[in-house]
Amino acid sequence: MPDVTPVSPARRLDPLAALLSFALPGLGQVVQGRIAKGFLFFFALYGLFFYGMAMGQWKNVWLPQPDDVPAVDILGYKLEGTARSLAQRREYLGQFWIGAAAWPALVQYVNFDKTKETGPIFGSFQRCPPEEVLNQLQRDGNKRWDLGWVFTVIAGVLNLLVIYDALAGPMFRDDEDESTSSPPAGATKS
Amino acid sequence: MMPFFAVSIYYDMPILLIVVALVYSATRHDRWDKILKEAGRWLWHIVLFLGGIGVVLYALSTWL
Repeated sequence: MPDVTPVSPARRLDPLAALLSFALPGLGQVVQGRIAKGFLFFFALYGLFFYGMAMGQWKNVWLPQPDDVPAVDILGYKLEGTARSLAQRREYLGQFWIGAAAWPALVQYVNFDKTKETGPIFGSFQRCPPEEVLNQLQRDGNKRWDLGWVFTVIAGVLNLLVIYDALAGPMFRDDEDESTSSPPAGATKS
Repeated sequence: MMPFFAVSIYYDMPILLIVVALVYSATRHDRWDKILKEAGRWLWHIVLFLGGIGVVLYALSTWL
């Protein structure tokens, strides 16, 4: 007799929860009723992100102005504007995904004024540090300064998994019989 | 001899590994028993892997 494995119903995607988890890690899960998981994601990822920022003397999440960085040429195409800034500060591509914790860097980038030492609202928080400050941090510090930005990037990239978990639930459906051959994406708890 | 916690990697790395293992496992399961079991498994594998690399690097730096 052929083995007829019942097909699980397709998962309904939840883009709103995904957006909420992007803005604040774990918020989408809390809205879905997976409160403990939401809190785990929030404290773990924000803890890791701000721990990394602290290791970097609070000066490792920022975007440089495009005019202050060397020209970037990719396959004959010259990058300009924000693309040029991101090409020189690739760390921000990972840090961005932590959500609101990295938005002050965008506000500072948009409102950057070379004649001033601080930016609007956030002061010098996540503002592009002067070159002499960066040089001094790297010259006088130990490897911990470099490890700091790595922690912030890992926190941001882990939030991509959290966003997907909010969108489509966990990888495995724990409420089904585990003897089914292929584990589809699991249903969210109602 | 240098105090253990004078080298920050000894307490920075465990924090990173625990967070990575827990968050990754929590995105794979919803049940807490499975999350913790998988997190423990991943943590052990990562520690073994990094420890192995550490041993190899130590051997290379000592005997080469």
